[in-house]
Amino acid sequence: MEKKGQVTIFIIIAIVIVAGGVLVYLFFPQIKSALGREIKNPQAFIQECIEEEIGDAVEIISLHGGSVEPEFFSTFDNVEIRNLCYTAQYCDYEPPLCSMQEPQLNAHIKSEIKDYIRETSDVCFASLKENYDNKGYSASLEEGETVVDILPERIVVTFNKELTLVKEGTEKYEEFAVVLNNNLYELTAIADSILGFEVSVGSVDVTIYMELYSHLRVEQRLLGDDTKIYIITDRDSGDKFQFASRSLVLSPAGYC
Amino acid sequence: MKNLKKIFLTGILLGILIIFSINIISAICCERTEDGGICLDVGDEQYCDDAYRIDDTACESTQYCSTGTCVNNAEGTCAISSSSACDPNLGGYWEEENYIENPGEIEACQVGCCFIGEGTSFIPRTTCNKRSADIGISPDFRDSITTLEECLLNAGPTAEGACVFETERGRECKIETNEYCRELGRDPHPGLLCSAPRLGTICTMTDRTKCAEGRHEIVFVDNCENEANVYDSELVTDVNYWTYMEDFASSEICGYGLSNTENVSCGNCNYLAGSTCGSARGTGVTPDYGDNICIDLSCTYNGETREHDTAWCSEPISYFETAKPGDLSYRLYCFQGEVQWELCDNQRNKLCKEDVPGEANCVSNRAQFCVFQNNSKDCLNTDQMDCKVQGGISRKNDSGGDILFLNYTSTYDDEGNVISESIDSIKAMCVPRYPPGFGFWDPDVLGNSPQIIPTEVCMRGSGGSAAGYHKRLASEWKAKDYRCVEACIEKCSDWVVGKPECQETCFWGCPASESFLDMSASGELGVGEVDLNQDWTENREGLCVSLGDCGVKANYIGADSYYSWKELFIGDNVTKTNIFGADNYQ
Repeated sequence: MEKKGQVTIFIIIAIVIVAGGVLVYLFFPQIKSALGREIKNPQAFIQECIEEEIGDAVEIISLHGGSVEPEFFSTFDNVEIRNLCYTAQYCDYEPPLCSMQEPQLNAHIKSEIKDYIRETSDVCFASLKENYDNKGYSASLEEGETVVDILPERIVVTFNKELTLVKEGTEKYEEFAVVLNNNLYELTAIADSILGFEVSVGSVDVTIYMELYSHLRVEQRLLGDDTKIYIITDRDSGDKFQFASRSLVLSPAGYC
Repeated sequence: MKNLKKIFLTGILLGILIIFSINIISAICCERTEDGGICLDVGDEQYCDDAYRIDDTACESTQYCSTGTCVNNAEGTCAISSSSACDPNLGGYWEEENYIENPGEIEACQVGCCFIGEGTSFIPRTTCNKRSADIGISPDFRDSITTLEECLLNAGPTAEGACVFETERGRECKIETNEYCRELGRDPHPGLLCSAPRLGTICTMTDRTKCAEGRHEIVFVDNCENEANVYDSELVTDVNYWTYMEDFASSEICGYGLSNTENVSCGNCNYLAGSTCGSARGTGVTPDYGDNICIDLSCTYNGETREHDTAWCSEPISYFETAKPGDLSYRLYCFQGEVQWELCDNQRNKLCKEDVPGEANCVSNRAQFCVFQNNSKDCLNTDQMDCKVQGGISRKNDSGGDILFLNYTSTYDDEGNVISESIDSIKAMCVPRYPPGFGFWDPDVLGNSPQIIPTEVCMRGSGGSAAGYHKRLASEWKAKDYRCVEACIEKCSDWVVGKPECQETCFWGCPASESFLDMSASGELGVGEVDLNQDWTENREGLCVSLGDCGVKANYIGADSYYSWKELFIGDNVTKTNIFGADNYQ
C-alpha cells in the first residue's frame, strides 16, 4: 500500500513537471528559441527572433545620445550620454557656440543599430536555415546588405538576404523586414531642432516643443560643468531620447 | 604707508589682469581630443589625440574644423558642422557655406515651404524630400515662399471629407483626404461628414463621443466610427451639424477660446488654454452625452494652482540680492499636470525672472561689469546691467587715492520727466546687485577654464587696507571681542604682573577713516587690541558679499561659515606689516 502511494506521488510529480515544461515552452518565446524555434513562415520567424534585439538596441542608443557605447560623453544619473554638440570654451566677447559632434545623427544611429544587431541576426538566420534543413528542406541563404530605416512611428530593418527552400518545390524569399513600433524618428527630429539652436544661438527654451507637440515632454538638466542634458519623451509610448550639449557657457562667477 | 599702497595697487592690478587674461587664453585646436571630441579648442595640447591634426590656433581658423554645412541627402539633413565631423561614410558631404547664414548657397539646404499632406513646414529642400518620401508622397517644395509665417499661412484648410464606397453592406463611408480617396478609386465629398443625409450612406449620427485623433477636442462619432464635429450637447441631433465638417478653430463652435474644463455640454477642449480630452471616469463629472470630458491640465505646486503652460521661479529674483553660497535659481513650469524644472545656472550667472505672472525665464545676471562703473547713471542702468551702488567705499587710483563716484540726482515732474539733474562726488562703488556664486567644484574643462577661483574674485573686496594694530609689549596679538567697536571701547591699563584692569568707556566716535583706528597716540587702546571702525567694516562687508560668495555668509542650508566677521580681523587673516618705521606698529 505504501509503495502504491509512493508510485502515485511520483506519477503526479512527473505530470506536473511535464505540464510545467509544456507551459513554459508555449508561453516563453525565448525558451522556444533556445530549444529550437517552431517555424511558421520565414518572415515571422525572423521578426520574432530579432525584434527584441532591435528594441534593445534602440533603447540603449536612445538613452546614450545616439551611440551604444558613447565615446565622448557626459554622465547624468550614472548614464553616459553622448555630447552631440560641444565646446570646451567659456564665455568670451565672441560667445563660444558648440561644435556639432554628430551632424548626421540619424545615419549614425542607423549604423549603430546595424552593428548592434549583427550578431543576433546572424544567429537567427543560421537558426532559420537549420530549422528548414532539419525539416528535410535544402535551404540556402545568400548574404545581402542590411538596411535600417528610421521612419515615422516605426523602425524597419530590412535584411536583403535571399533564402531558397527546396523540397518538393522551390520557395524563394528575397528580403526580410523586421518592424519595430517606435517614435525615434519623431524624437530625433526634435533633437535635431534643439541642436540647431544649440549650435547657432547656444540654448533653447524647451517649452516651445511642448506647446507645439502636446504628446512630448522635453526636459533640460544642467550638469556641474554647464553641459545640458536634454531628455525628450513621448508621453504616449514612453519612448525616450536623451543627449548632451555644452554651448555658450558663461565663465565661473560670470566674469569674462 | 608706501608698502600699503603697493599692496593695494598690486591687488587691483592682479584683479584687472585676471579679468583680461581670461579673454586672451590661447587656444589649441584638436581635430580629435583624447576622449573622442571633434574639433574642440582646448587649453593644452595634451588633450589632443595626436593621431589627428593639431594646430596652435582656434579651430575656426583651420580648414578642417571651420564651420560649414554637413549635407546628407539620404537622411534629408543639413547641419552646421565642421568638415571633420561630417563623415562621408554615413552619406554626408561638407559644404563650406553656413546654410543658415547664407541661405540659398547650398541648393539642397535652401529653406522653403514644404507641403506635406494638409500641413506645411518651413524646412530645407532635402528635408522636404526625405519627409515626403518617408510617408510615400511626392515632395512639394516651394522656394518662392521665403518666410515661416507665409509658409504657415499656406497650410491648406482641411480638404478631408466623406469618402464613399460601395460594399455588400451598402454605401459605406470613411473620412479621408480628397486626394487619397481618389487614389482609392472612391467617391470623395470634401467638407461633408459621412452622416450627411444627402450621401445616403449607412453612417448615421449617434450620441457617442471620442477624443479627436491627434487633437485635444472631444468629437461626436458616427455609427461607422468616423469622427464628426466637436461635441456640443445642444447639437447632438442637429442635422446640419452632422452634415458639414466644421473647422476646429471656428469661433462658431461652443466654448470657443475657453478651456471648457469639466464642461458637461461642450467638448471644445483647448490645450493652450489648459485642457485636453480625457475620460470622464473618476472625475466625478458626467457629461450630457458620451464618456469624455475636457480635463484640467493645471498643476499644484506648494499648495498653489499653476495653470498649464505657465512658468514661474523657485524664488523671486529679489531673493538673490542677498544670495547665500549654494543658493540656486530654478525655472519651473507646468505642462499637462506635471511640474517640470530647469536649473538656470550653476553659479547664478543666470537667474529666473518672472516679468509677467506666468512667464518666467532664465535671464543673464549681468554682473560682470558693475565694478568698472564710476557713476550712478551707468551703474543703475538696468537696460545694460544688474548693479547697485555700495556707499562708503571706493575704488583706488594708481597712486592709491580714492576714485570718487559720480552720483546723479534727478528731480522729476508729475509726468516723470526729468526737471533737473545734479551731480556730486561721493565715496561709493558699483557692485553686482545679485552676487554670482562660485563653481568651486568646477573641473578644468579641457584646460579651458578661465581659472577664476573664489579667493581671487573676493580679493577685489579685500583691497589692501591698513589696520592700525597696536602693540606695546611683547604680548600676544588679540582683537577685542566685538565685531566692531564704534564709540565705546574697553580701556585697559598696561600690565606686567597679574590681570590688566579694564574699563569700558565710550570713545567720542569713529572718524571717517577707511582704516582701523590708530589710537596709539591717544593711549586709548590696550595691549594688542584692535578698534574697528563700524562704518568701514560694514561698507567693506557690503562690497565683499556683493562680489560673489565672499565674506562671511551662512550657506543656503544655514550652515555657518568657518569664520565670523570678527575673526577675519585676527590671527593669520591679518597681514602684519610694519608701518611708519615704528617698531611698535604692525
